[in-house]
Amino acid sequence: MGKPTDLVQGTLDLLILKTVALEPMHGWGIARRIRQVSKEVLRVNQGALYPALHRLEQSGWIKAKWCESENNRQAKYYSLTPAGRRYLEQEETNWKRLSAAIGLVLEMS
Amino acid sequence: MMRWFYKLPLRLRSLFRKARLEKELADELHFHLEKLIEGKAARGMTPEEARYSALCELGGVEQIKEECRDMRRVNYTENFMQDVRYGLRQLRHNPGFTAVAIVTLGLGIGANTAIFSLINAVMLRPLPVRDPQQLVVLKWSARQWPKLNGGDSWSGCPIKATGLKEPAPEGCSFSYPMFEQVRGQNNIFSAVFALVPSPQFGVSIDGHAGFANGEYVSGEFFRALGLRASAGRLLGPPDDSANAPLAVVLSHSYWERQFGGAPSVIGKVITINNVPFTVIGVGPPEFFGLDLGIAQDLWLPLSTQPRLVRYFRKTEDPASWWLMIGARLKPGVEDAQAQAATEVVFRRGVTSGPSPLLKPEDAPHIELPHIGRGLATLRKNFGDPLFLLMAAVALVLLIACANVASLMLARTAARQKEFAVRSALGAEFSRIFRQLLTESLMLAAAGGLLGVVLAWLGSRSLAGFLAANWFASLAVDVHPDLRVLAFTVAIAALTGIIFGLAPAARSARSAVAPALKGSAPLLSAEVNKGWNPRRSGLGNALVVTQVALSILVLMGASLLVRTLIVLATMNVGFDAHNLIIFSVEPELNGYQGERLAGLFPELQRRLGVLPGVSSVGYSAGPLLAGGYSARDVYFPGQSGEQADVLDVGPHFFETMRIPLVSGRTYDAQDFNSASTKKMKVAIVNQSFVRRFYKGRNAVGQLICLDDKKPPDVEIVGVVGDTKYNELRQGIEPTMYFPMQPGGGTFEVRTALDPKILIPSIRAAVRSLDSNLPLARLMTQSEQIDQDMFQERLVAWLSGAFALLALVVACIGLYGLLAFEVTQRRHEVGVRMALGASPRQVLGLVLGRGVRLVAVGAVLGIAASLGLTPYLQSLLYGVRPIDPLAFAAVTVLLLIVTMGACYVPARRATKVDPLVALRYE
Repeated sequence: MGKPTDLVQGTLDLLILKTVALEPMHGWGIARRIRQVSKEVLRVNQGALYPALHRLEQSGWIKAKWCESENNRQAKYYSLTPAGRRYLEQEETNWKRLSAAIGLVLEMS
Repeated sequence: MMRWFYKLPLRLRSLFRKARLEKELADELHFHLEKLIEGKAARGMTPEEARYSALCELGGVEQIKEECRDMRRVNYTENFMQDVRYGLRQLRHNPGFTAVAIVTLGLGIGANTAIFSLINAVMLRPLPVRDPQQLVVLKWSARQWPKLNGGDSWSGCPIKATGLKEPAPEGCSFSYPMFEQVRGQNNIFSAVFALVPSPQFGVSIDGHAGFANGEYVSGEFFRALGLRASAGRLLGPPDDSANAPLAVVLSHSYWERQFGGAPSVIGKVITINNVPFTVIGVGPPEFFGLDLGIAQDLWLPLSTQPRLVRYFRKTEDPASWWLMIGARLKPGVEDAQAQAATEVVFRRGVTSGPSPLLKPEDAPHIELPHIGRGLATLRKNFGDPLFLLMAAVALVLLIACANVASLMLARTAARQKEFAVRSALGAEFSRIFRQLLTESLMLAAAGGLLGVVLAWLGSRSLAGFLAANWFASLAVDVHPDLRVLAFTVAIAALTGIIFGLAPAARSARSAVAPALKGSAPLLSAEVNKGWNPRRSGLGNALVVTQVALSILVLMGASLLVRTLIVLATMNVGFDAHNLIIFSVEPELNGYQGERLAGLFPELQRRLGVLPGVSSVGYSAGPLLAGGYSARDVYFPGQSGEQADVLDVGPHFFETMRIPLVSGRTYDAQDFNSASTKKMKVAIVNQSFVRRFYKGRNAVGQLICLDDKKPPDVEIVGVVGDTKYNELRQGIEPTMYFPMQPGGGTFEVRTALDPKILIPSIRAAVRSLDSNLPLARLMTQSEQIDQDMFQERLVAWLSGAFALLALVVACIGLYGLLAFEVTQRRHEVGVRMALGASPRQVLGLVLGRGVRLVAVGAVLGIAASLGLTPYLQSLLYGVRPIDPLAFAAVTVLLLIVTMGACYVPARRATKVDPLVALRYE
């Protein structure tokens, strides 16, 4: 299992941050939500999800808390820190600029 | 910034709550897995199918966990702990290597730390006063010496020591009127104070007489420095006025020495130079005065000076320069601004008035050197030697580094197999590299610890040596402070990296396959080239470096030791053995007139009849104690010349065993009539005759001491040349005059070991006057040792460091050859099996050692040729490039290194071919 490339990794971070920005969520929930929202287009590589979560936590963008899940089981819920919220806004802007730019290039011909 | 709020607890948890985190990680992944299984089961899979499919989808749980751990960065610390444990085990398994490495490093680091703590104490540590960086002292310079009525120059003044008897017109002495004018500059200085160093005071406490160092200070002194009293109060402006009660402040250490730190001392009356003073307070414990070179015992108000000395300075005279002026700059005032403003005041003061001291074109100039680190006496005397010693110990440390590096290299070579196994099992280059670096840093840390202990012992005995030999009591405090500790940690880390890096880099990237297959190939082409295989290139370089550096240190040391020998064996012109000297200052005890005139002859008579004493003389001052006086002399019909002057009492020349060349020495007549007769008499030395009479007979010649009067001095005798103030100074023309009553130095020639007679001399003086203190009672040889203090310090220490360097280099050479012999046993075995004789094997190994030493010696000599000329200022009677020293050092090095080579070479000849070859 090779490490994800920078682009994929960066994208995964963005997706995770955006997903937990709405409400605290556990890892499995994050993966499911991304798949659902993207209409099954984006499938998060399960092996990459948890390292990414731990890295974001270590960087101080998200924080974790153990809570009761739906069926009374303990699960680790991730949520955004204030610094993570600012980081997300910044990354969103970057992403939009980048994808718009790529769009311009692709429409050229 | 906010992020740290989240990050820090996580990092700490990663370090200290590992089990908990592991469990959480497992739980988290387990939860995910179950959710997956639930989802798949809901879509109709059987529980087994769902479980299998979920596991496939998730991938390797252990890999994910490892990646998560990586993300937590716990691995660095964990690896580090592992490296430390492994390293400790490695070092324990090789106690010989470990001990040699730690001792070598400990010696190197210890020597550096010891010298550094001395440098720190003398040059770097700020004075224990408030805001020391604001303190300055006034220093003037001009193109001409001003026309002064009297002046004093202070050793603490930060001027360059030129070694000339005629110094440049500059100094730190000012007149009292100038002090008052500078004191008016309150827009620049927040405080201005005056300071007058004094000769020792005779102090009598409860009938016990002794001497004390002290200085006169103006009333602002203590307040300007921001000091607080340990007991009582410190001097203030009201104490420094003509009709104030006489008050004295004691230093903390004097208080403890003389009064056991008793608080009852406040209000006590002690007599200083026979004048009663009231103790009003005790200074703070860490304060010894502004000059580290002289620890003060007492501080007296400036206004008391006329009461204590006969030739006091007149405060109103602008042509009498005797005060040092210190000042505290106001915060925000630039140096240049303060300097310009002070210069205006000074210039106006010295160039105006009825009789200006200087002309405007003499360019009187003021500088404001900062004295936050104390006045300069000690720095001037020890600055150069200390930096020289620092350079020497730095070289020793470099040699130690090279030595340990070559030991490490040898050891890592022996550990090739281990590294190969590790890298075959997947260890990365950086991992092995880190492991080795950790080991070397551990060695460095242990060496550093040992070094701190050695340095503590060393610097204490160094400070003891300084204190015992310096002319005044010293205020050097060598206790290790934060700066010294930081220095030690820094050099220990640096050495760890320096000696660890090369071996680590080399073995971490060594090839795996050949190392795993066995030891180096036996009969490759490489071996046939003989004993200079390229693979030990780095080891060779390290040994060559050690030899070269130790030659450099040895060379420097040999020059300094030879300087000491030249000085110690110098013919000083008198017999310095079996001679006791001591000084008496009766005027400080109120002796005057007849009583004063009778004291010295009576003392001379009483000492002369002591058993074991063969003769007694006295003079105005001791020889070879650093002091001298000189004056102008005029020859009829010629211009003036300068000659050294020493006033001597009866039997001086006989006692000192200075030979009479022609004429006569003084008789009782010369002393009785000295003050009344018109024509005075003088005895001169041979240099005087050579210089001024071109060798003609000088006896009977007339000279004058005042060019406006007719000749008034007749030369009655010529004596042999002697060194006067310092061994290093040449012999100047000298005149000896009959001594007038006053303070002076007694010289007692003994027939026995002079030390034995010291108690009876004390008793003899006490029987005459128990209040009369003896100053600087010692043998003449001790006095000369004090004069050679700097040379002895430098020669002994650099000699010790050079020996250390030589020993360390030999250990390095021995280590490399011994290791090679072990590594090449097979080859030696084959050679011997093929008919090589033990002699040839011996020659093989010795030859290799000789080649290394020769290369190192050539490089070292080349470096010495370039560097020893910088020692010039510390040498005397030895040229910086001294063929004898070069030859001696090279021969010494060859002999010692051959010893180091011989042991491993002998071992090589003991190799049994059968045993050696059985390994194949």
